Amino acid sequence: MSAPLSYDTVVSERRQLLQTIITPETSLVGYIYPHTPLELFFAHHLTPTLLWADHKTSGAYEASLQTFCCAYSRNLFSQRAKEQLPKLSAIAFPGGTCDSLQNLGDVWRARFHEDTVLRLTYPVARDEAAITYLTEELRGFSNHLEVTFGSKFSIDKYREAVALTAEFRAAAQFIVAARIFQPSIYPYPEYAKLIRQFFTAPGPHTLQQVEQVASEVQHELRTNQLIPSAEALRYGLLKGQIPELTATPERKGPRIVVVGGMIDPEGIAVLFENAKINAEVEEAQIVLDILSFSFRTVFHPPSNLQGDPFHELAQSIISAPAEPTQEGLPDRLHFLEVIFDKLKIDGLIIAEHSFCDPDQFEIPDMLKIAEKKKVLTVRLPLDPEFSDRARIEGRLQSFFETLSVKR
Amino acid sequence: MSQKTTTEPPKEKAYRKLYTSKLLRETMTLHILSTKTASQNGRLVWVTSGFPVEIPVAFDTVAAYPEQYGAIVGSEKCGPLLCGFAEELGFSQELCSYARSSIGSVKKPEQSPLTGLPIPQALLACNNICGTVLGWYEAVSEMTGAPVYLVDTPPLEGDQPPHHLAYVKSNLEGLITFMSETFNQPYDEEKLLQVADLSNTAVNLWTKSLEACKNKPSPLNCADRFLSMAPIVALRGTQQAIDFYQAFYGEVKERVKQGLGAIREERVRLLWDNIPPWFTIYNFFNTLAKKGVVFPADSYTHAWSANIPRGEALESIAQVYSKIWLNKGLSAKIDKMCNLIKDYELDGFVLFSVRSCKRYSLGQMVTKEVITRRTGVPGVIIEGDMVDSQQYNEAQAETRVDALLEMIL
Ligand code: SF4
Ligand code: SF4
Repeated sequence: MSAPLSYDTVVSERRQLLQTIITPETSLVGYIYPHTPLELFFAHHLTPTLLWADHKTSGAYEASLQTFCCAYSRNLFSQRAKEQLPKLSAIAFPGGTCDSLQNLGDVWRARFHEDTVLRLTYPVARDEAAITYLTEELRGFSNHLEVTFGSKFSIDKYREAVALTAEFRAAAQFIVAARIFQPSIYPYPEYAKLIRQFFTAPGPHTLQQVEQVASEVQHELRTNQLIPSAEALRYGLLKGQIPELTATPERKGPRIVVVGGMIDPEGIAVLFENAKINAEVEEAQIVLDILSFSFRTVFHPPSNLQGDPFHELAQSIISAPAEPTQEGLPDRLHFLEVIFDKLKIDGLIIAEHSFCDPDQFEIPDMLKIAEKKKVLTVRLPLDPEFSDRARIEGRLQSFFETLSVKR
Repeated sequence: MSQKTTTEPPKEKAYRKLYTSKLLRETMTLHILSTKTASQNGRLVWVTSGFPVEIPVAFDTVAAYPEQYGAIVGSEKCGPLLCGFAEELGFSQELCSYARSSIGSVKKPEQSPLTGLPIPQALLACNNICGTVLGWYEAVSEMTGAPVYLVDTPPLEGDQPPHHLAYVKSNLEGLITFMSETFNQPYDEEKLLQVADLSNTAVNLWTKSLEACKNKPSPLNCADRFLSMAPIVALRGTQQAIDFYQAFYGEVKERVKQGLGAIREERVRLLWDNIPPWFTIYNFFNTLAKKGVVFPADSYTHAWSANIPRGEALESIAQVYSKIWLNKGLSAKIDKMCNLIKDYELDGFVLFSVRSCKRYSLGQMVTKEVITRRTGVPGVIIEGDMVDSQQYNEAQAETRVDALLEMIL
């Protein structure tokens, strides 16, 4: 029996990792929205770091935000109020995504005058007009970065960053596709950790780790002659499609998909692995997640280096798999239905942050599809502090038990 | 038992009822009937309160407002029931109760007030009021099969840059195409300009009525405005709205002329922030009226105050609907409220923290501090919801407002 995973370890590793990239010259910019254009920050000699929720930080928001602000926003605010965020030169909020974050940015400005609060506003639509709009937003944002930090947009730094993110994504996409065929090839918690490491400290060091894993996975797949199948799947996923699988996926235990928005993949991994141990169904595997900080950012298409950088960045952001804050619910539901049909899925975990409207509006329709496709579901209302952890693990445990009976 | 020999005159109520409330009822009843006919004729749209309704009106469709329906559900005190129907479908109890009650009424119209809103042929949302409307309308679309069109108006910080205007305008052009195709009718710009003129006339009458509340005593109280805003929300761009607001403004002017206030004895003038608790709207404001408290201004009913300038129709509409202050963030809201306090000579303010509505409510703690710092008047936050009465604690609200009154009186 494997040892239970600890979320404490996850959090302390994040902090340590960040230390490794900080030098006296590093200007660290914290960001929140999954599709924030990292390349733009690098182009201005800034280092972007994703601000994760921290399960150990709670409270300290009550004098500024009501409890019905989403759990993720509350947690970030608490981290700042308790001075537990890394030392940041600025924090970048998104505009136009959800009501909680829209207000969080405003409240942050009012409460922490000393912070440099940036805002990049995104369109909700996903058409050509949205790309044109976002292009100009990015251009304006770049000018703002130049004025704020006195560092001009460097085309060389931009190109380097595009290469960095493209290489990371290509490697991570391959691991995702490989895991769909053979989830045991690389455990989900390890995958989630790789993702976290890169978005916490994006750079050659964390890229190398992902590429190393991708190459080991490739080696193993070669033995099973699964590389062409995995590549075909990866290209399909990049276009938002799932082709017919050309090989039979591994089925040692129940095959599970996780869906949700801005949920921490490592948090899910911890809950999942521990509940598996308790339910004694060690062979159950998360074969795919559709989470904002994982699938949706990993399958974000690369920017083209040929054209206007702002236009190319906008194009890649708008073409990434849609967030629940964007238009396109019918497409997202159809995608889920195809996943059920083609990826031999037994169970669906729906994770939602408490008071997250975008997630919560989609869930009933997801449940309907799962029911239609006879996929067993469990719904996990989460807050980053896992304040209801025992109940959540209990729910997962009975989910696993029902899955075992079904099989 | 002794029998009374003298008849005492009936005790005067603390508030004065508007005689145009009868016309309001008739206007809205006719509107409700027209939405039913329109649905049968395949010409009903559902729109959000901040939607540029002039466009669907110019396409001869009738607009129904689910938010207004939510207000009816709240007033009829069946919020928990209808929200419960949505929760049975899996919609979280944490979602906006306007959304939940409308979803609940689509699910079980037979158990809903007015048998629910008639089924629409299109769902038209504009996110200048909040991000919630997209998820809500997409969910209703899944239930009814009616397509959604979103007019995307990204939140503004400061002035509207040209690319923002161009983007919203292109969304409106998309809306024109969507309406032409869905309702099989060509676009007529001249007609849109005529509708915009009608809309402006109604908005002007409404704005003048609101501004009349700067007078002491104030001719209108909060509940008067919240109830009378129905046509400005639902019938903007039609002659019916103008007819109603002419009569309404006439009554307001008359009250001002005669020095008649909305309440008999005006002692304290407060600002109200946010949607009201519909299920207790009379009780809440009339109880305070008895203590001499009137609300001459609020942040909500002033949202429909912009005129569409004559000019290129879509560009003008894009400007007006992008720049409503609700789409401009917390500092614009605070500025607006400070100005209302100054212009209407208010003694304090009540911020209603509506659990349903993250867009308007989050930020109220900061708002309270900043307004007091800037204006010197005290304020209080009370908590609850506009439709879901289970989220409202009347005694707690009363205690907090009483504490505010103690500071003022
Ligand atoms: S999308 Fe959901 S979880 Fe993310 S910030 Fe918004 S409300 Fe919170
Ligand atoms: S969230 Fe607020 S603004 Fe949006 S529909 Fe609900 S009550 Fe209205």
